[in-house]
Amino acid sequence: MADSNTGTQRSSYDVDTILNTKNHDKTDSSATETDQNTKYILEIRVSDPQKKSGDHGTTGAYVSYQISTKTNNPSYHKRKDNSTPLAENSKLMMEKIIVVHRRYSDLLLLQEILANDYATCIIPPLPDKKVFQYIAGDRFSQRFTQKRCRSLQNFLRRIAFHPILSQSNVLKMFLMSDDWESYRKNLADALPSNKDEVTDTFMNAFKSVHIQNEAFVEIKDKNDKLDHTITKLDKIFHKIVKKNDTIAEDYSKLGTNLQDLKELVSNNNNIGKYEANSEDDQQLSKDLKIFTDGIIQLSYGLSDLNKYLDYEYLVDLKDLEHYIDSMRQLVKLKDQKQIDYEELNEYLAKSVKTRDNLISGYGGNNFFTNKIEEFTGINQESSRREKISKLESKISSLNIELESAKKIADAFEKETLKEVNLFEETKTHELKGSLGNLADHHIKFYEKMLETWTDIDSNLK
Amino acid sequence: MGRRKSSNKNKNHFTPVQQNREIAIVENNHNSMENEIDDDYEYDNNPFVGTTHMFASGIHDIPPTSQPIDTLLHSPTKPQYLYEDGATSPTPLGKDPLTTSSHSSLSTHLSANSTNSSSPNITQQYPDSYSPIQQQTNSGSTVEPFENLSMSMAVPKNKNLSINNNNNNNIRTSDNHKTSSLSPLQDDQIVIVDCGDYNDPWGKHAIGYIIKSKKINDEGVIIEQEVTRRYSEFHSLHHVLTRLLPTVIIPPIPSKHSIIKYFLNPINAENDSKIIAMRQRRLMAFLNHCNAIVEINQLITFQKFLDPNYLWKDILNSPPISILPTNNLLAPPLNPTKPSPLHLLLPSPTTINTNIGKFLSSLNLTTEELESFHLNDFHSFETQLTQFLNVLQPLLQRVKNNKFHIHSVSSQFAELGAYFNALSLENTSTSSPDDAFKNLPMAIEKIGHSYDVNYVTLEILIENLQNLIEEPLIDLIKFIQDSKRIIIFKNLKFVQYQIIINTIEKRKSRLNELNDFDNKMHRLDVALNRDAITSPTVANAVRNMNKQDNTNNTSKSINQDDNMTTDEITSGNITNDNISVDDESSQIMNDSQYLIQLQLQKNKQKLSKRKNKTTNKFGQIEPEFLTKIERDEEIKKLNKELLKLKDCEVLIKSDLVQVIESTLTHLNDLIKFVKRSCHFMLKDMTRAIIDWIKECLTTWQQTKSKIDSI
Repeated sequence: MADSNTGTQRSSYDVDTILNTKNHDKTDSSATETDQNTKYILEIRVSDPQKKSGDHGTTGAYVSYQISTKTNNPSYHKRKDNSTPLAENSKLMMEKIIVVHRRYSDLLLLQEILANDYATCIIPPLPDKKVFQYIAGDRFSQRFTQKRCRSLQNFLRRIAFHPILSQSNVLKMFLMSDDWESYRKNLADALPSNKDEVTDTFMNAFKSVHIQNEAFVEIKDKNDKLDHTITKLDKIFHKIVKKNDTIAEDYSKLGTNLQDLKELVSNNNNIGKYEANSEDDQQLSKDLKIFTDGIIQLSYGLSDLNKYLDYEYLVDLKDLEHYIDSMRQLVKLKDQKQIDYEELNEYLAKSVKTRDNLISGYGGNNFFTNKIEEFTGINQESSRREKISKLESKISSLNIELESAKKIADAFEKETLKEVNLFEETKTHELKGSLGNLADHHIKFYEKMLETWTDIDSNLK
Repeated sequence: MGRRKSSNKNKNHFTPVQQNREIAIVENNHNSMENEIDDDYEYDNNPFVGTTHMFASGIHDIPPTSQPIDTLLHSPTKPQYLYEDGATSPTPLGKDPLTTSSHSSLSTHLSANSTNSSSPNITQQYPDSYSPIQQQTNSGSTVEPFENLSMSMAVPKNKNLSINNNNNNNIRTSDNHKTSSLSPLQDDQIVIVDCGDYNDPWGKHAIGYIIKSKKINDEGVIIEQEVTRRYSEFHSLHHVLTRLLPTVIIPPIPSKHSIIKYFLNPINAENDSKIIAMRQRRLMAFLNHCNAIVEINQLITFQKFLDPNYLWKDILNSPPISILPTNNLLAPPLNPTKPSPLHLLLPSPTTINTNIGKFLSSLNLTTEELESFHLNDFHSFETQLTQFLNVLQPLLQRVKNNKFHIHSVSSQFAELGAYFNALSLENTSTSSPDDAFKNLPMAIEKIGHSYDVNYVTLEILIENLQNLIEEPLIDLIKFIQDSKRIIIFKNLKFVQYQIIINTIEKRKSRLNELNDFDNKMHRLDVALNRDAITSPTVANAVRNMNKQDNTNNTSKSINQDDNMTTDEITSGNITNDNISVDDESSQIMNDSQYLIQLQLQKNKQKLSKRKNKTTNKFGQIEPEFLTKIERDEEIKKLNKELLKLKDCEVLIKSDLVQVIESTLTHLNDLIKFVKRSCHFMLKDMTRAIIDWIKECLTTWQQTKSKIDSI
């Protein structure tokens, strides 16, 4: 009973949000209708993580990331005071790079706002807070900030790729405005906490949807598989990175050993009448030097490749994993809506049944209750009527609720399906990019090595 | 090619003979039959003398042949020679009485007079009889011992090392084989064509290695021969070689299985295919290394090892192996199976606890003579080899680690390939009209393929790393470690020399001591006799003294030769008679003398109980405690010994010269070889790396183009 009550409450709350969202969407789209028709290019780059000491000594040190945006969306090129655009020519606009500096918590805020504004969208994940790194104190290390930088860029690019999210005014504000700082300060406290949702999710965690749309079954299945594979890949790449590091180290040590050998060969002198064939020795020591250089190059090349794998590819993989998680969250949310609807439905059916029993006679009440009522002298007939009328009103209100819940669930499902397709697209796009990068870096490595070693081969006598 | 080689051998065969002829003429000028000199020239070298062997009396019953020496060598029923260069060919016996006596003196060396007369002969012959080898190593007419070692570092021809058949590296290395065989002597390239299960002649199961090699047959034509040997036979060959050639660095063979491994996993052909393949490679390298060293190449044992007509067991039970001395120090260093009576007289030190440099400088040699010992050369060789060892060992470790790490990465790559393929399959399920969705799985699959290729190429790289670097490095390290053996041998030879010199010094000083004492006694005698003429007391004393001497002698000389004793006694009697004529007036003097004598005797008896005190620091009895006869005896003995020792000194000196020469040559060759191997390793490795890179690059480029098509 209590459960279904909260369910009702929740659903009514959700109706508001979802309707809000719809309205928001509508207003947004109406405002920037032309924008949506001509999909603007939005290129975002996150770079140059810099350690900054706290402004007023209160917040302590933090890392600021430089976010550069290139876009041909004219609205980005307007002055703060909404004066005429800087340049009408889209080419010229593309050349202009908008640079802002943001910190991790800024992005977190952006994500929160977006998550609240667009409940039916898959909000791209941000990198973990990495509390451990805070404790360990190496959150300013190059490796950590570089990786986070990459991950933040992935986050922003995903938003930019998303047709709805990319149109968000908050994003625009985030990417270009100098006022972000004050904007943030005002918003931070006013944001509703989403603790409710957490408990709700928790309560519904053990419930499952009765009638599952086939498409979602497939989506879930696929997601699980993909997640599994990506996780595995992630693990393997982690191992590879580690091992590549040892190999690179091997080579640099091998280089030292070969250096020793070279010195030995070039330093040894003639022994008695057995003259060391100095010409051969010189040649050999030269060869050794060439070979050693090659080995060192190999070591460098390998660690460069490794750096890419570690700093970029692994981050991409991890982000993809997170993204899949986000999508799962969305599907779960959709399920929840459906569960809400199904439970309402059940409750309604129950109420209708009680009412029908009351109307048809005593069947609904047991003998014992009737007896008690008799003793207390309550007019059985009137109380029955009262009950029936109560139930009637409940049922009618439930019917309305059910209808709206159904609407919400359906709408949610539709939105979710749209999002899933979008997700597929984003994923493909991203995979293409990351795999292309992977191949590029490998090719770069091997090309360089081939050049180095063919040189060595031709130099060895 | 073959003809050239055989003619070369023939030349070697004749040079020593001609050189030796002159010596033989000098030595045997009583021998008028010059025709037989050739036969005689090594009369003391017949290993079968004194045995019941069919050639103990020489090869006279074998009709003189015009066949090339190889015929004799390679036909199993023909006599068995040590070296085919003819330096040690068996010769008839019984012609020269000296020979028999010199050989019988092997056991009773001290009494043999003939040894003395024959020893200079021996010592002079050694350097000459070894000249063929020296010539070969020094003149450069033949290839340097290690010349084609580097070639044999290459990968076996028949064995395709790489998983990938079109691996250029293998083709190139086998090209190396071909080019190398263009130079003379290298057509002897020995190949292990196959290995696997076989039944040895006793029906036991074993892993056999089929060795293909070339030899020159009776007609002087090069024929191929094939023989199957098992690992234990290789191992025993290696052992035998170290004993036969103490001054040569013997190429290493792969080490035995550790016992623990054996218990954990008893060999079976399939399981140990890796080890067997490794052994096949290493054993082939071993054979070719051996073949490149003239001393081993010429060794009949080695040749028989390659000959299918011999069982290894039979080779082991026949000369030269069966007549190997127990201690190489007591045999001619360059040819231990050549019997030499004098060598048996040499001391056999086991440890080197003396400073050779100090010892040599104490000899007061001229700088030129000191130079001839090449002490500084040895020192620098040793330090250089240690340095190499110090560099190569960590290098090996590094390579091993690297191999291990690469292997773990490559296995990760294999897994990665599998997962990328899975990823591509998962993506194909999307039935989307979009081209991107269609191409993506293909691109992902391509990535997976790239990683597969990465895996395969890395495995090849690992194998190359092992075959081209790790194993040769292990061999190199073993080579260098084996060099310690010959250095120790050389040092032991030095110790021998030192002992001989010291002994000579000791004997000389003892002799001097004895002679001095004799002289002193003689002077005393003269003085006493002179006095005895005037003083009867002295005369009496002298008489008593002589009596004393006699009794002493008789009691002392029980163990000595009967003849000797009687001789002494008669001579003593004579002196006694002479003295008995002396005047009685010398009686008092004589008494006093007698008292001294008595005292001396008491002392002597006392001291003989505590022998330590009468003996000097060399453990000898002080001359004043010996009787004249004993002294004479000892002087005689010492003289004889000194003569023998002098012979020994000459012998050991010439030995030393040979050992030094041979050791230095081989050490030098080793260093050259190490350097050359390094060079080849670099080249091989570079090629292996390039192959790996090329392979990876192409696959990634293909992948990239596929991705771009999305």
